[in-house]
Amino acid sequence: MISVEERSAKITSKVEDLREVSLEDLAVERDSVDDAVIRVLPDESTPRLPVAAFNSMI
Amino acid sequence: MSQSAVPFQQYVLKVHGRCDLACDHCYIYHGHDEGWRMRPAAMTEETAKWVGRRIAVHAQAHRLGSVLVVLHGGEPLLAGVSRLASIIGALRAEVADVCELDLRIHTNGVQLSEEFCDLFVSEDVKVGISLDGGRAANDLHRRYLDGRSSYDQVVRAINLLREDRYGILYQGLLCTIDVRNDPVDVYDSLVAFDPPRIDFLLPHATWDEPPFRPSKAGSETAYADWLIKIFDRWSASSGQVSVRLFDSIIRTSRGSDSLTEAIGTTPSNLAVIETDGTYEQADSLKASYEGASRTGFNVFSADLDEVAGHPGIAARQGGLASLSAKCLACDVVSSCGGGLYAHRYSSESGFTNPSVYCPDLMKLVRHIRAHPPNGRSVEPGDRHALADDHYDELAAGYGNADAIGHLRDAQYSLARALLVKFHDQASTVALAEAARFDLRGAWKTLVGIDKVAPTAFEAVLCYPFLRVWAARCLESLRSVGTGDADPASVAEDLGHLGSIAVAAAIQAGISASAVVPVRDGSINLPTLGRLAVPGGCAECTAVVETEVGAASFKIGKRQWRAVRSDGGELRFDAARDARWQPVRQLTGSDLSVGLDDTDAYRDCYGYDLAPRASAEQFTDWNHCFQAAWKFISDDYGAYAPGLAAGLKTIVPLVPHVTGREISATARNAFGAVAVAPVADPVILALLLIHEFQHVKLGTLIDLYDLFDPTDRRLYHAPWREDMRPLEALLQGTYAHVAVSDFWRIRMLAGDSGAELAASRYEYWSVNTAEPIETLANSGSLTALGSRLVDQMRETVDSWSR
Repeated sequence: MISVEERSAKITSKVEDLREVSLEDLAVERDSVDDAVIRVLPDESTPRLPVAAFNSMI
Repeated sequence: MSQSAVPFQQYVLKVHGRCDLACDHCYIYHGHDEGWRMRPAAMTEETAKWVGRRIAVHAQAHRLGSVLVVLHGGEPLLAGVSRLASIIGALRAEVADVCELDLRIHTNGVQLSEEFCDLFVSEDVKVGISLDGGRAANDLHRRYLDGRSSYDQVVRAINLLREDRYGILYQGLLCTIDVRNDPVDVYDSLVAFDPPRIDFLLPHATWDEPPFRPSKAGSETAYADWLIKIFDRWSASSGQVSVRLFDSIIRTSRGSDSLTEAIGTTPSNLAVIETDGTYEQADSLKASYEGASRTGFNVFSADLDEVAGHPGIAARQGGLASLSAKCLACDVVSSCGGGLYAHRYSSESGFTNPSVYCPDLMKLVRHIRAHPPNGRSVEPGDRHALADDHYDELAAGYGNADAIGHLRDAQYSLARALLVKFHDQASTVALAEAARFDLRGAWKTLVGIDKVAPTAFEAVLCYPFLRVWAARCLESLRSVGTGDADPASVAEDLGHLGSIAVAAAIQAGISASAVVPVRDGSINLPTLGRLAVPGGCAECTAVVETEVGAASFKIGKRQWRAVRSDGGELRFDAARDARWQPVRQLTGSDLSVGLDDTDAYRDCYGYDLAPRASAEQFTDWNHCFQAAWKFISDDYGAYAPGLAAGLKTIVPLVPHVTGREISATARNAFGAVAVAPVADPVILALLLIHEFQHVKLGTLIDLYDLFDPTDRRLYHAPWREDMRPLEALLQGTYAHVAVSDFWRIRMLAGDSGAELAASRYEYWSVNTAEPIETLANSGSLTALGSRLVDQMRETVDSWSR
């Protein structure tokens, strides 16, 4: 699914500003790091993870 | 053919409609819908072929790169090995040429055997298993018709999946919640099986038939209380196993997508296909009322776009717009999203209600947001942003220093994330060849420099080839152990972390030490240059020690020492048998750009790299660059500020044998362009302007979703004989806006080259306008992507006014 940005005075990007976050904090902030890395190295197995396998039960 | 807003990318395929268990909480056999009684027990191969055809057509029409198909039931293993193999074969035969087919199977496990597992290994089918906890918890519901427990059979199946030979199949465990069970016991019982993922499912219920709740105070949030106990234990264990529900709440709190349809506002992209080929909506709707999941369509007579037009499907794709007023006013709506669609149902008001689990979801989301696990953030972090005018200026093909500065800032964030990800991945990989490098020490050095000398640290991290290195390492690390990666080569790549650390230490002027690789007879220090050392190097490593204003390099008993000049250059006391090859600076009137013919990771352009330039060749480069930069500064005022702010490095390439110009840009190397030497400064100016367009657009693509990445079509690009993917067409067109502009300005200058410039302007402007329309009409641009293309068109149109 693709996102649609709204026109505004500033256009917020998909990349978190990590310039002021220490490397040690980033090392445990895996969501921030993973969100950024996925922009550079798309991993087709990560986005839009399957919902079906675990949303139905037998 | 109607087009669905959200194409189906996930399918639940009922390959067998009966079950060998008689779980009393099952929505299929104990719900309202008794449609299963009327359908064939098993899907035929012919039906599976039709399913495959419909999926393939839909995937092609919507340009999907992959689809997920879950083989389901009833109990899918009742179909037997032979029938499952034929169904899988039929699906693959139809879909394989169109897109990737990600196959899963979800089973109760009692029939799982080596024969099934062998089939799943050969067909790459991942396996998920239902288990409600330990023996007592599981036996509350998951029994055979005669009342026997299924626990031992399920445990046997899970243990089969835990064997090394079948480990790649093990997808996870699904647990349906019963609040009468002890939550921590349930969680610990599941974790004991080392599942890659656990999911907890709220029992299906509606406002007409609310879920079981204990008759004691506080029972209105019994499910939240139950899950919170598990969350707290999960959190205390640092989330040792992925729990989809918790991960989804954390992700949605941060503004990302949910990983499950049970919560979140992501539109559903799921269709169910029954054993007889009839299309249904989500299975969970069977819990709502008789016929709730029916669509009236089947695979033999209707394509999936028709199914997508069904009002029930559209309703589940409505996101926030389909929620009740109460939900829209709620502070946790971005996470719960109104809960599972089926759980909103009441016979009085349909699905426009909060979930029947609303109090539970609200309490659970608030608890997780208030108590995020260590290292997990539930706050949307500050994000890089471009002002409207900066975006539009860049989109038009230009971009001033401020706009380029924002792009560079974003690249710095990405570089920091990549470095941390590298550290995370490299520190857990078992690679004996990397043991000779002290990666932990190098990491600590970098952490320290980041704190005490952030400017020096940033200079090294923003060097164009750091991202190339990091991306290469992360991709290699994924392959370690698969036989696809050369361990020695991967180890050298990992060891480059030491080179980065000592380069940053030298830039910062502080003491540090690192073991670094010696590759092709050189010790490479990014941003600075390389020390070419003669003779063999048995260990292929060197120790670099830095101190204030100096550095020493040791290979075995050989040692070289350098001091750092006021200008920042390394100067060796007596080079003796080694040669220091610094990155030399090309200097224009107000601009200095490195000519990097040393960096170990500059081989990212797909062209042969020029060897180290001689002093004479460097002088030629410098003269040509100075003239080209003057030319750009004088005549190309719309491009010069951006170039001055963003162009940091030129990589020399080997000239083409025919003499034609060669230049290139690498997506991962922000701030660098590669060029084969040219004699004419005008041409160098053109190549720099052209390639820097790619640098700018690459970062815009990093920052924003400009187009649908699943569009796999190829498009006509007027300047090439082969067809190009959408991103390449966008890149080429964006660059050629500037190329056209370049020749237009030359033409208007009226100098001796005006005639040639006019013909080139005519050619490029026509061949830029055409693909702009191709892009605009592709149907694959986002709103921001369309805005970019509109601005490009505006630039081109302005030339003819």
